Amino acid sequence: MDQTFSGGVFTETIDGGRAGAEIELLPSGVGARTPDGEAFVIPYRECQVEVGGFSGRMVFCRNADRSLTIFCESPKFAKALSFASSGMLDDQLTSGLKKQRGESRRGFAIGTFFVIAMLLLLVGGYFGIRAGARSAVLALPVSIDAQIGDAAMGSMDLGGPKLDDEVVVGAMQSIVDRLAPTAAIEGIDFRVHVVESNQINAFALPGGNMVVYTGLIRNAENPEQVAAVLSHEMSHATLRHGVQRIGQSLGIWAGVSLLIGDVSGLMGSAVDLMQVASVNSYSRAHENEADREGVRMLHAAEIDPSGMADFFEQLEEKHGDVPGIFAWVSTHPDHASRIASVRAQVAALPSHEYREIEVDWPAVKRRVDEMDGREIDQQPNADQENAEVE
Amino acid sequence: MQHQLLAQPAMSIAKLTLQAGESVTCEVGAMIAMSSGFTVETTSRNRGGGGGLAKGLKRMFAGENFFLNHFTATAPNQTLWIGPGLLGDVMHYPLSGGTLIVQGSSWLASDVGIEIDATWQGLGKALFSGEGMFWVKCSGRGDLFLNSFGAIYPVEVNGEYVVDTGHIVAFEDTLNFKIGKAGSSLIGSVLGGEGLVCKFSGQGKLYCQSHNPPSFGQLLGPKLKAR
Repeated sequence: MDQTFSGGVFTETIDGGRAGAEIELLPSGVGARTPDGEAFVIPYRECQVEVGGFSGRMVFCRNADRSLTIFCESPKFAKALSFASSGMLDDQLTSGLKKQRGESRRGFAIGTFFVIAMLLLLVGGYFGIRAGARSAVLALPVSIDAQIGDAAMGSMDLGGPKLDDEVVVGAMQSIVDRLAPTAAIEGIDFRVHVVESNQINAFALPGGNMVVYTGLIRNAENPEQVAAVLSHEMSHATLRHGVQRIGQSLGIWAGVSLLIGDVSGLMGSAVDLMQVASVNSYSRAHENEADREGVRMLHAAEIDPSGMADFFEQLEEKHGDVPGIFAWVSTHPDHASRIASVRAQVAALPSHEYREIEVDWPAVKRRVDEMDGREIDQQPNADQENAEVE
Repeated sequence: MQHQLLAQPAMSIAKLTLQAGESVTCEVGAMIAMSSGFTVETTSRNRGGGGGLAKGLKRMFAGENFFLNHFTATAPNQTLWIGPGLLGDVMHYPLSGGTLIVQGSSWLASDVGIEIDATWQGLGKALFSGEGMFWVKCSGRGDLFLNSFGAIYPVEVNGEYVVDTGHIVAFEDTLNFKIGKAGSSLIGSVLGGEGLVCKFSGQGKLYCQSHNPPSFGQLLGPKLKAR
């Protein structure tokens, strides 16, 4: 078989030690002919084969004292060499090719490992900072909550005029004052603001500012039902759901600046957030937590906690087809299961002598109803209609 | 084409003398001065050969320019002066049918008979070699001019040889390298300031540069005024 390949030759006898050459597989051995006409031959049985070069596929044939090397990169050369040498060089060729493959595989594996490690580091770093920021927010003193809440309260649209009727506001404040000693954390000063609006709604800002709409009072049959709603809202404040949400929504750079101790950025974004999503939509987990904590507070304050489930049911029966009005519970997708879980929790509580709330409820309702007469805007504020406190 | 290398090694430039009809392909921006008897053609192809868009893009990835300038002499004894962007040496390599692997951005000029192509060096090497992701592969016959940062020195390798990352200018394709650590332990290698090195094996010529641009940049960068 007479085949030629293009390759080269290394030897001291030619100028520069290297030359390009035509490689031929002769019956006597591997032959090379340089463009200058010099010819070299390495007999097959003397041939030491190595595989390497930049491509990793170059075949080198060296003579016994390594003074002459003939090399070729042609992809068909290895096979042709094996054939021409009648299999004499197969062992060397196979082990050389195997070594090269192993090395390129190793390089690829290290590179891939490095790329994956970098990606993991980036992703891990991102979530690490997020998680760190969240716990750093929770580690902040409760006074921060009040600062955020006060700033948000001062600049947010409440959806109606504030009411300063002593009977109504006093009644609400007395309910809150009875619940306050049972709060999960100390240092929150609960202040109630009553706002004239048809919304059946109430919410608490971080730090203790609470807003109750007259719609809620009008629809409650007894003060225990109002206490149930208020205990749920107070729980959002005492469990610091507001600041937790701020921690979750912080951008990565705000998170980093918080971790290195800069709270000013947090304050700015927190107040913005609280205003926009003022009447805080909390996560399902936070809602359930607030329900449980609300029931616990009611029980501890010796107020009948069954008022909570009663009120949910009553509202659904009465206003179930008017979602805008029925703000407090309307958007809960599994409202029924929420009622059931509150009932289950109440049933599991140790029996207790509950004390009535000392509020002249008919008088409070009368004051609110009287206001109906002079209320100009009976419709709920359009902006607030969908912004429910859950 | 005759050539003469001047002002070596720190500020080297090459003076090429071409006869009528001879051509040379240069890196974009390499021309310093020239006689009036040249036509200049800018394309993304090798002269008279293949190439085009894909080759141009590959060259860009290798740290070279998308375009190539072809200078063709229209009169006898036309001189063309070319030089690199950074301070450093210029070397001449007569390519006689083999292949030379050149670090991206080190290719300066070559005979029109030489094919300039980019070649991927593998993921592991691309990340750690301190060179570009691609190398420039020069093959064919003719004169090849390369530039470096600092002086160039040739090393005849037969067996194994170690070069710090970032100091390679070019090597013959009969050589191969892998990335390894300078010392026996990785921590020692890093503390010794050498970190990872390129370990060459095989037989052939290797050209190294005395300085490396990234180290120079790291020294200089902080001292520059912000723009």
